[in-house]
Amino acid sequence: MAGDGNYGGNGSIHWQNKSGAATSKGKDATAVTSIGGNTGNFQLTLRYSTLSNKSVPDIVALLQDLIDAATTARDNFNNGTSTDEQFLIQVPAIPRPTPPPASPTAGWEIHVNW
Amino acid sequence: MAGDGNYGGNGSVDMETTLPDGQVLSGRDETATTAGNSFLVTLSYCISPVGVEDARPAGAITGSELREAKRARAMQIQSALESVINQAIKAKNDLDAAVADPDGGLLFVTLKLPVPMVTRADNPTGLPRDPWEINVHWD
Repeated sequence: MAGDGNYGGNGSIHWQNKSGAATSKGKDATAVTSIGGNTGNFQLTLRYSTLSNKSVPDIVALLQDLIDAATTARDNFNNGTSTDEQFLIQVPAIPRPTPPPASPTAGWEIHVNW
Repeated sequence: MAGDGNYGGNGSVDMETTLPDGQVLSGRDETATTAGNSFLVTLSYCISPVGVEDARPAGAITGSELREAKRARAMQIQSALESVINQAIKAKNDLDAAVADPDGGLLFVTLKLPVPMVTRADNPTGLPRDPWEINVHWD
């Protein structure tokens, strides 16, 4: 089975989680233009840790992939060849013996804030 | 108001969403095996509004209005991507420095990436025509 979580705006904030056949979704009426200190930015926090059983060189390689993808997207915007860009980031999962910590900022691999 | 969404592993995948009223929705995908696997995060950056032109009377939109809106959006996205690049470079350097430290212990880095909202006329629908700004996927 697989799953995904999604975040987007259209005036307000919409989010949706899917896991197998189960879906939870909702809307926060906060104006999307006011999020992120009125910047209109979601803040995505990614945590890369050797607790994922990935080595430092493995993590460095993933970060280089991110640099390359973001650079390509930036350059495509700058030279006018694109108005829409997407790229994929790999974040190694941490195989913990217990659920992640209660505080979402204290160590979840992925944290989305608005 | 604010909210957040969180994803982490402990053999299975744990997810948690905190709503603006403080309510926490949490869940777990017991069938996913995170050991050795990665979350796949797709970020979408979009200068053009999605469906906004169609949602307004044609006479209400001027060329200069659209150009100005797109220029501002392009600058916001370029700034966001510069932040992504610079933070990833710093994270690489921090890891290299930690490895070189003989007293170094656990090695981790965090990146806080800005992802600009996409202007839409309707609710997000996802791929293929209207990708969410942030998609977190696991197998």
